[in-house]
Amino acid sequence: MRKIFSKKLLLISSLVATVSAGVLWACGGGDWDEYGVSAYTPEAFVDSAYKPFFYSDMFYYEMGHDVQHIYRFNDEVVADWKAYLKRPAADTELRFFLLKASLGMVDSVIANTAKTLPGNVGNMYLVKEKSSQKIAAFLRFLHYAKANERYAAPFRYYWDYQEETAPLKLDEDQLKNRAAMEVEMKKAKDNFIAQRYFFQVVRAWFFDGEFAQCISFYETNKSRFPENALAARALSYVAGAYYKQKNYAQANYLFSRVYDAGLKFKTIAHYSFHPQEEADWQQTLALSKSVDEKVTLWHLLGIYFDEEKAIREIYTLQPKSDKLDLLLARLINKQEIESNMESTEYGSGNYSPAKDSLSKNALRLVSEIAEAGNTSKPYMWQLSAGYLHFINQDFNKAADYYQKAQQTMPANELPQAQLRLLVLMNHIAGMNTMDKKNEDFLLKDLVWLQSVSDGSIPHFRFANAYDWIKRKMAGLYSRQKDALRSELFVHTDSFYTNPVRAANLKSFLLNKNLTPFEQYCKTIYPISARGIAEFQYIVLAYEDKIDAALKQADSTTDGGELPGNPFNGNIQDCHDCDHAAPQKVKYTKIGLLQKMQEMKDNIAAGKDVYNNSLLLGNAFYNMTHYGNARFFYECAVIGSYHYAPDVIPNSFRKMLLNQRNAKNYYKKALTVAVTVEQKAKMTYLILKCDRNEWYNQQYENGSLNGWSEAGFPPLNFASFMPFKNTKYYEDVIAECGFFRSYADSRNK
Amino acid sequence: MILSKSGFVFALLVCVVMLFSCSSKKKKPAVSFYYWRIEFSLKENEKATLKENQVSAIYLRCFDIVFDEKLKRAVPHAIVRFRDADLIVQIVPVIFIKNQVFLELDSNSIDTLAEHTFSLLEQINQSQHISAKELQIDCDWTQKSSNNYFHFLRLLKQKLGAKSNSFAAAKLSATIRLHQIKYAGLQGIPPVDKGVLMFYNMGKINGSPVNSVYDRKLSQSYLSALNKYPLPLDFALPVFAWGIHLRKGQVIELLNKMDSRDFADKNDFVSSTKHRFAVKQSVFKNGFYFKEGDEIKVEEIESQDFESMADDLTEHYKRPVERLIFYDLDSINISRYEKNIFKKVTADF
Repeated sequence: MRKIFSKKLLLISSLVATVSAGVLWACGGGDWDEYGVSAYTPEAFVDSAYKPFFYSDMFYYEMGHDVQHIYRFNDEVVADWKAYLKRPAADTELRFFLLKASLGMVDSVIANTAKTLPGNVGNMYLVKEKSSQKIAAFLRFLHYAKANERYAAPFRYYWDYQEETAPLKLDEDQLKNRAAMEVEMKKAKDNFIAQRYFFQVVRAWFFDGEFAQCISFYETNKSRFPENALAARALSYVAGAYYKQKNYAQANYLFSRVYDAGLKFKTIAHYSFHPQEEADWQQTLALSKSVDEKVTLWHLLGIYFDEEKAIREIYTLQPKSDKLDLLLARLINKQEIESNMESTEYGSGNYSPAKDSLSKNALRLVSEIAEAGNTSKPYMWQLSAGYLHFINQDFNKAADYYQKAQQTMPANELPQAQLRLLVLMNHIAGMNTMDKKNEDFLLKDLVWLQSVSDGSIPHFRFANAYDWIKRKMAGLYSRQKDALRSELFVHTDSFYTNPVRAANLKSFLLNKNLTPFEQYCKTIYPISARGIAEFQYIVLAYEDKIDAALKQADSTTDGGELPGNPFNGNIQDCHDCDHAAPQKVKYTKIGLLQKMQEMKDNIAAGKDVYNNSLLLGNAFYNMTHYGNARFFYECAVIGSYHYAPDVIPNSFRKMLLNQRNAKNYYKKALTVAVTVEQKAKMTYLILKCDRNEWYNQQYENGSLNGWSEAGFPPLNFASFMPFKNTKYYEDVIAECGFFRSYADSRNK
Repeated sequence: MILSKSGFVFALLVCVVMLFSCSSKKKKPAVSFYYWRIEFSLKENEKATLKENQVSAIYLRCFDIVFDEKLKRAVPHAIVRFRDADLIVQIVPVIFIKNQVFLELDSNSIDTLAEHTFSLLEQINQSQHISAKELQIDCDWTQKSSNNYFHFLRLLKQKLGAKSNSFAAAKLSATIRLHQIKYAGLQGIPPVDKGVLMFYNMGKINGSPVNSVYDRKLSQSYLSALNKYPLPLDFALPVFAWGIHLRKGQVIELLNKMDSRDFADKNDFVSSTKHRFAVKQSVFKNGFYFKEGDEIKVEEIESQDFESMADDLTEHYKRPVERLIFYDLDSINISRYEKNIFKKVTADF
C-alpha cells in the first residue's frame, strides 16, 4: 500500500536550515546500539507487536524507516485468493498474476485461448481453467485492479516531470475504470469479490483527490463487508481523506482505529497520526466510542510526545491495558539515558547514577502505580520503580521494589535475567567497600553475568550494565588501594608503569590456588600471564638490560618474526622499504635480543667495537616508534598499530619514543671510528636521533599535532659540514631534504 | 597547489571586477522573492505583495537533488507542482542540491547528473511555458565537494549556452554563504555568472539569546572580504521567522513559520522576553506538541534589521547590486511587515 500522505513533503531545504532531534542522542563514532546506554530490556515485558516503537535513535526500532509500503500486504493478498479459489492454484501462479503480471498480460489471458499464449503462461492452471466461475471472476477483477495500480502504486522514473508529479486528476480511462468497478461491486453476489472492488474504488477516489466521495462511498458500503484486514486498509484511505480535508480530529481518530487493526497496521497508523491543534486533539478524544478506543489514542500520543501524561491517562481509564507496557518501557529507557550511566568517576569509588537528571514526576508516577499493583504486569511496574529509585540513589527503596517484583516475575529466562541484573547493580551500588564478604556475596551473579556475555539470552541488554559493574568495583578496590584487583576489573595502562605490580599480577594469574572469586577475576582479565611476561622482557630490553630480558623471555613469549631487518640504519626512515627489502636472516623478538647480546659481548671483549656499536645503535633505533621494528614492542599490554605517537598509550609513550639507547651506541661507535666515512655516518645518525628528540619535545609541549606540522628542526647541522668531501655526505645530500636545504642555505 | 592557483585567479578576478565596478553607474536593486513551497499557488496577499513592491522576479525552487542511500545515486526530490498557472512575474528556476550529492558521487556520474537535471528543468519550463533568463543553484558546497560541484556548474553553463532550449542564453547564478566569502581562497569560487550572498542563517541553532538567523555582530565578522569577492553579487535577505523548540535546554525541533504571535495564548504559554516563551501546560499547536516545561525561542527579523543589513552590506560592498531576493514569499512571513517594506528596503542600497 502506498503511504497516504508523506511527511517527506516537508522540504529538505537549504535556505531554511534543518535540525534533527536524532542528533541529540547520536554518539560520536563507535559501534553503539540504537537504544543507547541501557540496562533495561523492553523485550522482557512488552508485546512484540509494539516492537517498532521501543525507544531508539532510529525512527523505528530495529527497522529505521518503514519502507514496506508497496510490499506489506503481498502475502495476505496471495493467501486470501488462494483460500477463495480453493483449487490447487500454486502460490507461484497467484504471485505471478497478483504481483507481477501487467495489465496487458491479464487482458491477453482473458482474451486468448491458453494455446495461443506463451508456454509458461499457457500451461498455468489458472489460465487453463480460466472459464471456471471463480477464476473468471479473479481475472476480471485483476483487469480492473491492475488499471487502478497506475495511480495507487505508480512506477516512478525520478527524472520525469510528468511521472514524478503524477496527474492530480484521473484521466478519462481511469474514471471509466472506477465507475465500472463500482458497478462490479454492486452486482457481485460473492462478498469476497465485492469487497475487493470496494477497496479498489475507495483508493481510486482517494488518488483522484475526491476526498468527500472517498469518504461517502466508504460509509455507504462498508457495512456490507466483514471487518478484516482489507477493511482496515480501506479505512486507512478514508482516514487519509479526512486528513486531506484538514479534518484532523476525524483523521486521527480513524488512524487510531487502524492502529488497532493488527500488527501490520501499527507503523502505518503511527506514522500518519498527527494532531495539529489542541482543539482537534480534544475532538479526537471525544470521538472515541469506548474506553479501549480512548486508550489507543492516549497510547499514540504517548509514543509520539509524552509517555508520562499518556500513562497517567491510560492508567486511570484502564489500568490493565497492555498499551501501558510499551509506554512504561519507553519512559524508563529515556530516563536511564538521561542518567548517563556511561560516564564514571573511575577511581573515586563514589560513582552513582546521576539522580539530578531523573524526572521526579516519572519516579512518583511509576512508584504509585507499582504500589497499587492493579496493572496486568505489576512485576514490570515494581521492577521499573526499583530501577528509577536506583537511579535516584535510593538503593533501599529500589531493593524493596525488586523484592516485590520477584514474587510474581514470570519464570521465563529474559524477565528473570532482567530482574537479576538490576538487583545485582543495586547491591553493588549500595556497597562502600569490597571485602571478602561482599565478594562472596556477589560471586554467583558475577559468574552468571560472565556466562551470558556470549549473547546467549537474546535481546538481553547486559553489556552496559556489566561495564558499569566492573567500573564500580574497580573504583572501590582502587579506593582501598588494592591496585591489583582494581586492574583485574578495569585494565589501565598506567598499572604497568610499576614493574612490581606487573610481576604481582603475573604471579596472581599463574597461581594454581586461586579462590573462586579470584578465579572469576582471572577469567574476566583480558591479558594472560604470558602476555605480561612478554611485556616484562620488552621493558627490560628498552632499559638496555638485554641479558635480563633474555632470562625473562622464552619461546612461549616470542611474538613472531620482525617485518624488516632491525640492524638497518638508513639515511631516511622508510618502514615500508625496509619491510619489502629482501632479508637473508629473519629475526624474531628473542632472536633479535640474542643477536644484540652477542654484539654487546663482542664490545665488552673489544671485538670490532665500531661495527657492533653501530649495529646495536641501529637495533635500538629501530625498536623505537621511529624505526622499522615497532613490531618488537607490540604486545597485549602495550597494544599495536600505533600509527602516530598520540595513539601510543600515555604510559608507554616515553619509552617507545626515547632515543637515548640508540644515541649512546652511535656515540660509542663515533669515539672508535677510524675512517672519515665512519665518522660522517655516525655524526649523521646522531643528528637523526637529535631530530627525533626535537619532535618528541614538540610533541610534549603540545605544539605538534602531526609530523607534517613539525616544520624544520633547529639541529646542529654544522656538525656534519666538515664531512663535505665524503661519499656519505653526498648520499645524504641526495636523500635528505632537511639537510639539503641547510647545505643550500650555507652555500648561498 | 590548488591554493596558490585559485589565489592567482582570485587576484586576477578582483582586478577585473574593480575595473568594471568603477565604470558602472549605481542604481537601486530590483525586488525579488524566493518561492520555496512544493506547490506553486499564490495567495491573495502574496499577489498583492508582488504588486505593491513591483517585484520583478520570483526565484522558484523547482526541486531538490538528494543522494538516495539505497539506490546510491542522486535523485530529484519534492518537485514543484503548479496549481496556479498564472505566472504574473518572471520565473527564475532554482534547484537546491544537498552537498552530500557531490561528496558521494564519483566525477563520472556528474555528467549524467547534469543531463538529468537540465532535462527535468526543461520539462518544467515547457509545462509552464517558462522562458528563463537565469538559473540558480543552491548548494552549501565545501572544499571537498568543490571539484564535483564546480564541474557540474560548468556543464550546466554549457547547456545554458545552447540556443534551442527554454534557457537560451540564460545566466547561471549560485548561492554563496558567508563562510564561503570569508574563506574564498580555500572553498573556491564557483564558475558562474554571479553569486547570491545568503545574508542569514549565520549562527548556531541553540537556546542562547543570539539570533541564529541574523545577528549583526556575527555578520560583521564575515564582511571584510565581501568587496574582494570576484563574483558580482545579489543579496538574499531573510523575512522568515521560526521557533526553536527546546526541552531541558536542548534543541528538539525547528518550528517552521511560527513566530511570537503563535505563542500569545496566556493559558498555554508564558513569555519571559519578547522572543522567549515557556510552556505552561502541555498542548498541541500547529502540528507540534509542546510539553509542560518546554521552552520556545522565536527568531524573527524586524523592519529595523533591514536597515542595519543595508548599512553593513553597502559599507562593505561598493559595487552595484542588481537584486535583493527576499526569503521567502509566504503569506505568514509577509503578514509581519507593512505592505511595501520590500520596495522601501531597496532605497537603503
